[in-house]
Amino acid sequence: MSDDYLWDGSGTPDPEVQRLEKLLQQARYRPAVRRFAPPRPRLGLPITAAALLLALASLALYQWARPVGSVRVTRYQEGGRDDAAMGSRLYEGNWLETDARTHAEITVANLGEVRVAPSSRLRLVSARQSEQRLELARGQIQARISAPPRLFIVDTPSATAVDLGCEYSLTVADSGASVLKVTFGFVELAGHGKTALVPAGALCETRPGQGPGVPFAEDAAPTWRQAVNRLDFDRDAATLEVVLEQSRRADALSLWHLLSRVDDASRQRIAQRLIALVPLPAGVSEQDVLQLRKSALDKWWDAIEGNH
Amino acid sequence: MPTASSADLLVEAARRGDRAAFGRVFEQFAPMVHGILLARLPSEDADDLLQDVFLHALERLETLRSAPAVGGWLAMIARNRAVDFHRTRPTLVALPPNLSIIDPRRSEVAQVLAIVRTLPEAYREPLVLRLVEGMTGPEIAEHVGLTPASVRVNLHRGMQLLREKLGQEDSDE
Repeated sequence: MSDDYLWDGSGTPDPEVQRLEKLLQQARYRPAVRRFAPPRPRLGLPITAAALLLALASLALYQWARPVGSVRVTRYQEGGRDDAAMGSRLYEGNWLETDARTHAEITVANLGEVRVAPSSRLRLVSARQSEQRLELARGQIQARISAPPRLFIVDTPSATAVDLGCEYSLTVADSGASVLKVTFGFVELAGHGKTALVPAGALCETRPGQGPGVPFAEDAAPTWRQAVNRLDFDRDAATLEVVLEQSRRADALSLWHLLSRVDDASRQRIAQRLIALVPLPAGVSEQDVLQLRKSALDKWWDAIEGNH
Repeated sequence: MPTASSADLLVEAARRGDRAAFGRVFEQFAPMVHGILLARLPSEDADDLLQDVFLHALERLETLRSAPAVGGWLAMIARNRAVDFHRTRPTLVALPPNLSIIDPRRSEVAQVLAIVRTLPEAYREPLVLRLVEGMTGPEIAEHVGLTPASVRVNLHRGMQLLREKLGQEDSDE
């Protein structure tokens, strides 16, 4: 038989080629292919049995067809218009890098968006229903997450940022140090045995090998922040006087975090200053605070949180 | 299918920074790129990687030697991205050698495509472009940047091999 039909569709049709054409055209490129439509229960079945079968079938289908976790990524180039945006997927374990003229947006499984700034390097660690986790090696992300707490996590070289329902930016320098700025909600930073709870309107620095510092109100004076960091990171008690004398009500969240990071003598002085700024709530004694009783500190935090 | 001249104009405009023109290049060459990916990857992965190929191309438009070479250039990027994709995906556990490649859960389309992917590389690509994407032999040659004679030979031999393999599968059942 001539292969003219196979070559350009002319001549006598080849039945086998025709059969394959008809069959395989189902896999042809189509923009915005709809991948999966859940099956409907048959009306003749009892509702409960149908629902159970449907659930089991969906679970089995999901387990069979479940791909390696991934998130959708759209990149934008400087000066480009929206219609130039290009979408792709980032799979677990893979890195995303943006150059100096490119930023990207990651859609996090209906939980929110992460904007990746130019000159950033980021890895998708996991994209599961129970955990969406990124690793930011350098650069900056801006996350806007609307999800249950602790579902969206970002690792950096010096700390881990755990979303508690929020919007924030996280910047990682080449040294591995990072700065977190929260604009809505709360973020918990953890690393090297330390944690910091960073509310909206506050920022927090992290350092390699030392984890998170204490959070600051965004308008805290640079000299005061420097003094606090020396007390916290460098264990330089000589800066305690400056920390106490120059602290404001808005700095209460920083003092509260310092309580658990300093020696007993410093803790007592910080507690007294903090009491002057934000009185202890009912049922909480100074002794409870000095002994770092969690319930007492939590109540005081609740009182402080509205004052920063 | 685009004519060479219209594609050339679009590519030239895209190289000058006209992103709308690049969007048109995407529309015109997406079936070819999809077919090349589909000759190497399962359908769902080919769909996902398609955007990645064009993103890669957009970032490297200045390296394109000439507008008429865009088809071959995109084809090369698609082949390379498919190789990278295989390399970066987590390693899968090897199947026993006596296990059939036919999975009863999969559709006939997926089964046939899986068989096509077992063919030599030179054959599977024109077969997918012809049988899946609906391109004719001359269109495949023009888009991919090969001579019509070599595409015709590869289509012919590829179809022969595919018939044999499909026949084997039928007789095994």
